This record gives sequence, structure tokens and C-alpha cells, in this order.
Amino acid sequence: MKEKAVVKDIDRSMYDFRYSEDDAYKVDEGLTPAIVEQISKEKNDPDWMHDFRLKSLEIYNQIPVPNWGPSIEGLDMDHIVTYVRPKDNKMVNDWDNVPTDIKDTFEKLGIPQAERKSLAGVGAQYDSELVYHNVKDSVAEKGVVYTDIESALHGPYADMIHDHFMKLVPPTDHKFAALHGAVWSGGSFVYVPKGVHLDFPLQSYFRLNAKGAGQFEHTLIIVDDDAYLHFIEGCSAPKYNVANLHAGCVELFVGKNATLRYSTIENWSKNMYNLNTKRAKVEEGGKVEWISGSFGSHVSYLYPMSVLAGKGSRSEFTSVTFAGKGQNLDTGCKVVHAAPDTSSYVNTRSISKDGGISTFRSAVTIAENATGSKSSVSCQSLMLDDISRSDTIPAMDIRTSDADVGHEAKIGRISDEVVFYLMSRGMSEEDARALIVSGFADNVGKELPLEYAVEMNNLIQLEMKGAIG
Amino acid sequence: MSDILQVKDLKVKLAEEDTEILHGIDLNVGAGEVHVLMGPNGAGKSTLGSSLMGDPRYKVTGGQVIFDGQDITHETTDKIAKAGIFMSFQNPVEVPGVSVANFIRTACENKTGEHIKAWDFMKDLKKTMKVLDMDPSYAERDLNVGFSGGEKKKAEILQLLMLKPKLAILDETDSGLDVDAVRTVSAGIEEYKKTVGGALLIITHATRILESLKVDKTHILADGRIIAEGDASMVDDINENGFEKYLKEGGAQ
Amino acid sequence: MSELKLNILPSPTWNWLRMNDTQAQIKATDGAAVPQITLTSGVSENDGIFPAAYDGGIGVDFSKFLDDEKVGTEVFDINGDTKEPLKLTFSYDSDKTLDNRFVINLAEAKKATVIMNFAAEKNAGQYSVQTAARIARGAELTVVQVMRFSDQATFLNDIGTDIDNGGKFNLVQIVLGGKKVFLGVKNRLSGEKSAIDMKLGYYMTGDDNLDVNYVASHTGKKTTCDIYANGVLRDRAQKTFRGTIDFIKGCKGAKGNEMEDVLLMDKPVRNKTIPVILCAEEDVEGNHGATIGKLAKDVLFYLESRGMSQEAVYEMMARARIDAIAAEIPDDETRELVGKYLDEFRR
Repeated sequence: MKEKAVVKDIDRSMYDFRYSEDDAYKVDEGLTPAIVEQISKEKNDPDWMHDFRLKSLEIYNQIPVPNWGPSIEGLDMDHIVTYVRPKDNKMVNDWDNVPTDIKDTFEKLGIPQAERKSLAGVGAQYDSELVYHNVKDSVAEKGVVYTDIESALHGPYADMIHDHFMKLVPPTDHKFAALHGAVWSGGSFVYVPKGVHLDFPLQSYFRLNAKGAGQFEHTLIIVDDDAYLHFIEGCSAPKYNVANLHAGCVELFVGKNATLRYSTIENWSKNMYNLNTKRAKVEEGGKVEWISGSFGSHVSYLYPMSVLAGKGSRSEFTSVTFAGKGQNLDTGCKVVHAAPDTSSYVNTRSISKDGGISTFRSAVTIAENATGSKSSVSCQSLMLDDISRSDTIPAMDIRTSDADVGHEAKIGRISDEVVFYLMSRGMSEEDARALIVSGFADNVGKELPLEYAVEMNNLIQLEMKGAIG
Repeated sequence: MSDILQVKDLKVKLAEEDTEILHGIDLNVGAGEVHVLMGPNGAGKSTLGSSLMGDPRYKVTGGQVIFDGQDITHETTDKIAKAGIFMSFQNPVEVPGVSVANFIRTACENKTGEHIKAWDFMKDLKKTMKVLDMDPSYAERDLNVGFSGGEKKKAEILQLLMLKPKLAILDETDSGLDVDAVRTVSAGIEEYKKTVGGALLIITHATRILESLKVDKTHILADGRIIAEGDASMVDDINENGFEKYLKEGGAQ
Repeated sequence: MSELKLNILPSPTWNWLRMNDTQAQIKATDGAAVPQITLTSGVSENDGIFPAAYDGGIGVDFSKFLDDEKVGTEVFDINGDTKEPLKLTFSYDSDKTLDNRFVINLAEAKKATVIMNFAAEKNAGQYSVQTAARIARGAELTVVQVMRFSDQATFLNDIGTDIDNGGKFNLVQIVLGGKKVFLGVKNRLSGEKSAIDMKLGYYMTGDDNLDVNYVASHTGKKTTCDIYANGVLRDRAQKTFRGTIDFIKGCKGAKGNEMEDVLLMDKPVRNKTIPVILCAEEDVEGNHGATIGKLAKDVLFYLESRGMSQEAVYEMMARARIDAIAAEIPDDETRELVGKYLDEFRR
């Protein structure tokens, strides 16, 4: 009865292809003031940004690595290339002008098709630089800005960038925020003006092609009062034998009564150290909705944070994490209730398989002044075998009696009865287990646009059965 | 002047929204009288009962409630109860950790301000439970936790008999009960009339619960207004012919 | 005075939360308190030696500190049938630092109850007690600890258990007040089908502070743990509750449940809760739930409609929580003592 179906090695070829990086411009390996100076010069930074980078590097050198969470010993900063510019780099808004091998990469990943079908705009980053950016005319006419941060730094939104850049996630926040501040490159700037409701999502896709490199894109999104935006982020990288690093930073500013939905399907290759920082600040009556699927990377530290700064603001966090062989994914969220009548809702699922380690980690803080606030956290974990690991570490700090906090956690395995029931209806054990796991991850699946839900399901099928079928 | 309850032009809205539910209610109940409050669904019957009790979900925006000569319009719920009004809830809440006996004893002590000897209290409680055909084991169960609909209503009447108020508001106490349970609850209400002699304001759809009681007055509430009043015969009339006639006469339609 | 890390969370998280451990200044001992001991049949009492660098709930640092302080140890060997509970009553009546250590050895298939009352209603000392329990095959040990401390007293209460096949450990802890009360319990469920059941009730007021670290370490097959905490925080009281269920690889068929209810009565209270489930075994079931907050509005209205003031309702609901835990005490006298403390506690 307990015999398990043998799971084949996973065929990741649809993500694992890679192109030559011979002609790319790279800085030297490692991290020194000279390298940061070089990046700053390369990117034609304004003076304040140049100084900000050097200051961040100083902070980086002072802060120790975390004394909790997965080991990052395999990450040797002396050998990470912090800046790789693709050859012939020039940001374009016409797909035909993207260099051929980069274009092929994104076409294999289905990016331009998606844009034509159902997106309001798309950005694509290849290694350290954005290679493509386009917004539909109808969206641009409403005053919506979607561009790369570098252009925005020199354009009419320069002041807005200066006022918001790393204000929510200061370089002092933790070691990798400081690293990001020093060597960030690429990413997106989005501004949705007051009252503008975008019916279609904006998407950005990050691809790290170069070996032993780091990607440090910065995403800054400002959704003004009463506006609505759905932003989708996708990430992937081919597999190399040396460690790659992703230390991106996402800062979201949600205005009064505005809503921002931020969806991510992350599928970095399994040699990636994904030390990403995401944070949203929500004003009165506003709402942030995080939808997050974590499938890739070797090690992840990922805890999107919501700062509920305005009265009646809300946060919803829905996630699934799938840790397979060789993966240690430490994911979760943080919520700070800093105003009255705020509410947060957290619903997460973690799956561990083939020796994978998944950790759900959270922190809900209800400040003294956040009276009338509510928080509900539900986390479920599924163990698929006895060589894996799944930890749940949720913290709550409640500093007012006028609060209503609920928490529930469950850990278990697939019930033999359910597998038996499905098999009695003619399903193979492998199919039955895959079906149950897909159902388990449905909290995220049903929140995603169809094509992403399909992609996520494919990733689960890949992990469960070694092939899409 | 022997009215125990005087409601004068009472206007009530939802506390959280600007929706007025009661648009000026006038209603008087004499000491020891039995009044029936009837009306279609959504008329505001339960709202009236709850607002008399000071339910924080509602806000009184106008008018006055005088009980036993005292203005209780803006009084807190516990003061209203101490003054002598009891309401039997339509949906009594579950209170885990507090046993029926412990709770009623605490409530009685609070009302009188005097310590009640445990033994005397238990004797009294068990006797009263017998009237209501309640198993004595209920005394030690957590208040309303896991009780069936009928058991919850019996527990409400048990509290009524033990607390001995001057006015009892029964909010749909008979709804959702089978014939036997209605009979038991009715017996409890008779016992209240007999031993306490207090007044009753009975909010109901049905009439079975009224069969053994002498009704002094009937009020019909529709759309937040009293549209008709009459004697006991009105109950039978509504039973046979429905509200239609009164709704037309009252101009609610 | 030594600065020690106490109540260390088995799996650390963000340092800024300040929940990974609690650092405290611990005073050197002035000697042992002399408890009033009521022995019962089947129990023998001897001087003994405490296991070195003991791994209890408060942590090895604290054990080593007591080792260095050469705190004396009394050993209770329970080899016979006990009719009555073994009772230890501590009435701390000085402001000194008093430390005691106990080893309880419960022999195979025996059942015993140990009741420990700790009270320092006026004094302002630092008191500690450390208990190491070995529960042999098929034996069942019930420990009841009632703690009543003034807002000046510091109390450290450390427990460790090792439970053999089919053994069971029941713990009821009731805490009424204390400037700083540390409870640490570490259970090693190494025997197959060994089980623990821990219940905690607390009522903290004023500037009281309660700091808890419960750990259930499941290594044996089909081991079970139930942890239930139910408490009340008033005024400016603070509480940290760490509860860890650790399913170690190989503990097939293990089950763990952890539930916490906290009633917050006054705005300035502070509650920290971190319920951890660590899992390296597939064939397990773990659950955790917590509800933290003030009394629900509909419950308040219902009870007020019966003529109780808000204060009276709060008092009743608070008491009900402690009563529910006290109901688990298998000794009338001790239950009555808790009732008496609660009567005095009313403001």
C-alpha cells in the first residue's frame, strides 16, 4: 500500500535552454567600490543615485548575513557578476528590433504572444537590462506610465523616483537590500494616475541568462488614489553549475481607495539564490493583493510585506510554495497594521517533495493605534514523502486589545483513502497524487489569469510527474 | 398611570449605516399585560425589541422610551436589564467556558447585589428546569454551546424565570420549534405570568404560543410603523386572513 | 548577576520581533527554599544529583547556571502505587534568590500525581524551580503547578521530561500574576506511543509579564501531544507564548495539536504568540489554532442584556477561562485554592 510511484527526473527543458553570452558587457566578479562606480557610470546615474549606491555598499559591508533561515553559504559574493549588459543593448518598444537570441528566448517563454492576447503592456528584462518595453496606446492615453527606471530617472518623473526609490525598503533593512541599493539595474517604473482603472494587467518578465551573475532589478509602482492595477511578474533562468543571485526589490505605493494586485509566478532555475524584497504601503481605504507562486530557485528568502498605513486599508496574501529536490524555500509574509480598522488576510499552501525544504514564515504586528483591526492567517502544508521537510513559523505581536486575530495551521500528507478513491475511478497513483496537489494549490490557481493558472499547473505537473501530461 | 413601558415616537437606524428602520413608534404596555407584536418579515419587529434592550447594532435617533417611570432611551444594556426588562433572543449566542448554572447565578447576584448560597440556588434552578422539562445535566453545560434550537429557547425561558423581570420581550421564541417544544416553552411563560406576574411583549409569526395566554392587546408593525392595533381577536383575524387588510388600511402598500 | 538567554525558540525567526529568546539578568542563588512536602505511599525522597547541562524548556544556559551555582537536588523515586498526590508547597516569604531542583523518577506502569503550589504574594525575590521527570514504560505522571506571585516577584519554572514507550505526561499550569514569570517545558517523546497533554491558564494584570516556551519533541512512533493555553491579559500586562511541535524524522503516526485563546481586556496589553510546527516526517498530523482579541460584541450584548455590567461580564469571562483549566486539576483542595486566589484577585 505504501509503495510510491517512482518519480522521474524532471524535464525542465522548456526553461533550461540558454544562449551564448560571449558578446555581453560584464563588470568584474565580486563587489568593490570600483565595481559600483563602474556600474553607476555605465548607467549614467544622476549624482544622488551615484552617492546612494556607494552609501548602500558601505551599509552592505556592515550588516551581517541573517542568523535565521536557510544557509546561503553556497553564495560567494566574490564570484557573482553584478552587472551584465546584453550585447547591442538598446531598449526598444518594437519587438522586431530585439536581438535575435533574446527574442527567441522570450518567444519560447511565450511573452509576446501573451502581450498580444490579454495584457495592457509588457516589459522584458534580460540579465541586467530591460530589452523591451511596450504599453498599449489606449493605456498610455490615460496617462499610465510604464517604463524602465533608468529612463524615468532622467525624464519628467525623475522627482517622483527620487522621492520614492528605496524609501519603503531602505538599504539598512537587511544585507541584501543594501546590496540591491549598490548594484541595482533594470526593472520597471509604473505610475497609474488618480481614478484610472486598468482593465488588463501589465506584465514584466525577468530572464537571467548569464552564468554566475546577479539580477538586481528594481520595481517601483505608484497607484494613485482610486486607481486600479494588476501587475504580473514572471521570472526564469537556465540552469548552470555555479550559483546565480537574484536580489530584486519591489516597492509598491497604493493610494487612497486604490487597489493593486501583484501576481508573481517565480520559476528561477534551481541554482538561484532568490533573496528578493517586496513591500507595499497602503493608504486609507486602499488594498494590496499579493498572489504568489514560488516554484524555482535553490534558496529563497521571500516575504512580501504590507504596511497598512491608512485607516481601513487592507492586505490579502495568497501563496503557494513548492519545494522539490535541492530546494530550500523560505517564504511567507509580513503585515504591519499601523492604522485603525485595517484588515489582513493570509492564505498559504506549502508542498515539500524529494528532500525539498519549505518554510512558511510570517509576522503580523498590530500596533497600539490600529484599533478595530482584524487579521486572519491560515497556512497549510503538505508533506509528499519522508525525506522532505516543512516548517511553519508564524509570529503575532498584538499591541492593543481592540483587535481580532485568528490563526490556523495544518500539516499533513495526502490521505491514502483519497488516493485509493481516485485510483478506484481508474486513475494511476501518480495522476491521483498530481491531481490532489493541484487541488491543494488551487488557492493561488483560482486567483491567476487563465494562462498563468495553466502555467502554474504545468509547473506542478512537472514537479509531480517529471513531464507535462 | 400604570403603564410599565411607554414608547414615544421612537426612531431607530442602523448604527453603522444611515438606514432608518423604525420611523416613529408609539407603544404602551400596562403592568402585567400581555401584548403581541405581529407583522410581515422585515417590518422591524426584532429591531424594536433589540433597540428597547440597547443593542449596539442600532442607534436611537429620536423619541423616548420610559420604563417603570425611568427614561431608558440611551441607557446601557445592563442598566436596562437591571431596571427589569428581559429579552429572549431569537438567536442566543454561545458562551464557551461559562456554565448555565454559574451564569444565571452570577446574573441573579448582579441584579440583587446580594450573594446567593450555592445550595439554595441549585435547588431553585433544578426546580425551574423541571418546569421546562430540561435535563438537570444542562446546568453544568456551557451556556448555549452545542444546544439545539429548542434547547437554546428553553435556556432563555429558564433565565426569564430565574431573573424575574417586570417586562419580558420574547423575540420569535416559538420559531423553529416542534409542537412539544412550543408546549414546554408556553408552560414556562405561563409559569412566569403566574409566579412573577410581569408584562409580556411577544414578537411572533405564529399563534400557538398564545393559546394558553390571555392577550390584552395586539400591535401590527409594517415597514417600521405601527399600522394597526386591536384586542386579542386581531390575532385570530390575522391567522385566518393574513396581514393584507391591515397593510392596505395602514397605507403601507 | 548573569545575563542569560531564556526560553529559546527552537527555530529562530526575525530578530526584530524579539521572540527568539528573552534575555534576562539572573541573580546568584541564596540557597534553596524549604517546601512543605506531603509524601504519599509508594514515594521515596532522597538527595541526589541533577543531570548536568540539562536540556529543559528554559534552555541549557539556565541549567548550566544552576549547575555552577551548585543548587541542591531532591529526587523522588515513585516505585509503588500512590493513593494520594505528592504535594510540595512553596510559600516564599523572603526577598532572597531561592532555587530548587527536583528529579522525579516514575517506575514502569505506575501512576502518580504531583501537585506543586508556589506563592509569593508579597515578596519581591527571584525564585526558581527546575524539574526533570523520567517517565518509564506505561507510566503516567500528572504534574499540577499553581503559581501566585506578586507584581514584585520573578519566577523561573523549568521542566524537562523523557517519556518511554506508552508513557504519559499531563501538565496543568496556572499562573496568577508575577512581575516576570518564565515557564519552560521541554518534552522528549522518545518512546513509542508516548503522549503529553499540557494545559496552561493565566491571568496577568498590572505590569505583569509571562514568558512561555513549550516544546514537544516527537521522536517516537505514534506519539501525541496536546497543548492548550487559555489566558487573560489586563491593564498593561504582557505575554509571550512560544509553542513548538517538532516532528523529527521517524516519528511515524505522530499527532500534535496546539491551541491558544487569549482574551485581551484593556487597550495597553501586549500579546506575542509564535506557534511553530517543525516537520521532517510525512506520516504525521499537526494542527495549530489561535484566537486573540477582545470579547465579541454580540456576546457582550447578550450578557449585558441579563443585567451584568461590562466589568462584571469581563470578570466572569476571565474567570471562566481559568476555571476551565483549573477543572483539570485532580485534587479538590488545589482547585479550591485556585478559586480562593481568583476571589482575592477580583478588583
